[in-house]
Amino acid sequence: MSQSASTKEKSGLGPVEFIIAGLVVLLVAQRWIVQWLDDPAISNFATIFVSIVLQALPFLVFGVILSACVAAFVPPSFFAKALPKRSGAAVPIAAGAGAFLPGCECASVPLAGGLMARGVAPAAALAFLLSAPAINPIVLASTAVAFPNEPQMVIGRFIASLGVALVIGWLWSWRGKGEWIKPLVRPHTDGLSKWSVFRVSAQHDLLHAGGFLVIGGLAAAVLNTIVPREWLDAVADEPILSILALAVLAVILAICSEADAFVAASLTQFSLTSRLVFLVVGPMVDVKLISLQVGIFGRRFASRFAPATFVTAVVLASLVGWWLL
Amino acid sequence: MRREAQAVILALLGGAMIRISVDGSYLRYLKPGMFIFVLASGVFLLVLGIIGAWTDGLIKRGGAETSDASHDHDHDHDGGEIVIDDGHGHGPGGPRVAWLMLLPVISIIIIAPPALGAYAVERGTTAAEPAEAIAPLPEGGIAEIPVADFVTRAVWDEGRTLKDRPVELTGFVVPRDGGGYDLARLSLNCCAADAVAAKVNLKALKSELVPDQWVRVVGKWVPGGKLNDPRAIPVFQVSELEAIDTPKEVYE
Repeated sequence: MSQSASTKEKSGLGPVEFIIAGLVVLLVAQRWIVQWLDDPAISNFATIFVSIVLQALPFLVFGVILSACVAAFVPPSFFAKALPKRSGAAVPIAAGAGAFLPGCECASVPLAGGLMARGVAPAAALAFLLSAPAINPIVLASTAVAFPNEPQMVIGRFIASLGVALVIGWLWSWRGKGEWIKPLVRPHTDGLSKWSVFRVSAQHDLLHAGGFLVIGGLAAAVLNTIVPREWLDAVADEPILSILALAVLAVILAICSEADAFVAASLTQFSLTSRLVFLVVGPMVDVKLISLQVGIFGRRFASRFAPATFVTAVVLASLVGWWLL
Repeated sequence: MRREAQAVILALLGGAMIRISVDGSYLRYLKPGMFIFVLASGVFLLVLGIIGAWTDGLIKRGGAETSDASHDHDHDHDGGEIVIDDGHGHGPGGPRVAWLMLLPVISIIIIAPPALGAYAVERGTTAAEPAEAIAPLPEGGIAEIPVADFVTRAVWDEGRTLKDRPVELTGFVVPRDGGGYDLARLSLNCCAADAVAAKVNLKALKSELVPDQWVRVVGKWVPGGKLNDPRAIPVFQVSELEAIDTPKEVYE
């Protein structure tokens, strides 16, 4: 797309003209495109894709606004004062602070990037990134509504999610290397007014995260459409396999953390422990999130962070489930 | 990606979000409670795009150099001078991946995918969800209730509240393996990716039905069948069936 755009540029046409021309062609060809896509599997895919992107965008925008507010209105000295110098000591505070962000995982990724750019230790920002979408009041309340007869699911979700955030935060401050995170390039904002800093930061974050959200939405919609659900029923009675199956399902489905409890509640053929694993893994690792993390923190980061988080989440949630449920 | 293109993409995405939230078609993808969030973030993206286009010179190029009081923060300081150079080799402006944000715009405006239907029900999760307390049906005549409510009453309450009561259900037709039809309705908790189906098996149907056709049926619960099983599908004796247009709120 951008290649043809740049060839056009040489002939005097800019990308804006290219976008307009493309939209005109699509509008003219609309009838044929719609006919061509008239297949139940393709429309199912398209519906799921639009749903995931539409549902995630308001939360992404919310996270981007918060991150831009941090860039524009919170001086770096604030975090230096608010958080302990040693990143190991800052991790629990950051993980606990996650309880106060009423959002879901799409909001916490850009916000964690903004915090790092403002001088917060990566270990602490990552602990916040993991805990915020899982332990905030809205998510815990929806879990309680979805499991009216099993209040221990709410407690288990809180303990296991906070535990994973702490373990990964400490793991990062012990073994993590700053060079894995792609240089957090912030737009040049020296000498701009606060509102301009806000606008430029928001635009920068949206452009970096938005495209990756689309990739994640596409991947989730493809998997949601082609992976048959029958294999779920086949493994529901195997204790270990059912845990792994629901952990993988959480990664594939990429459901918002504010809604995943209802899906977990509907997977009644599975044990409570495996459903707890589903609730702990989902807000921390899923295809849409991995894509967003690649966008904000880079590939080298995501290829280490996502598997480490996945394994930690599965193990901790299974232990908590075995103990509590 | 050039700066004008960034602004245009954000504005287009914002415009598309405003359009589907205002015309109600967002209900094909999201639950009604998301309306205000989709609209508000659409407005934010549109405004951000327009201000971006303004300060980056796209609009000024065509029009006069206007100084708007509400924007004077931007004009005082940057006036088109901001360089959002991310410095990782994607050219001036933004990353190439940002072009992908046109995909949802195209999907929403050009393709406008339909709400989930029989295909999703056939391969998705069907669940009869238990409820804590089951209230009696409203007094008198035919009780109009959601499909999921009917299934819960039949499967988790031994059909106590349904015995000998005519009930009206609205949903779409899903063909059954081995002949016959189910009536299904999907419900959302957030978006269509988390849709869960509720199904009843239609008995005593005289007519052939088309998959995905919306129907209103009146009839009674047929006692028997599996109880207290989330995968149970209760049986419904149809006395009246009427094909209807797709309702505005397709999900329960």
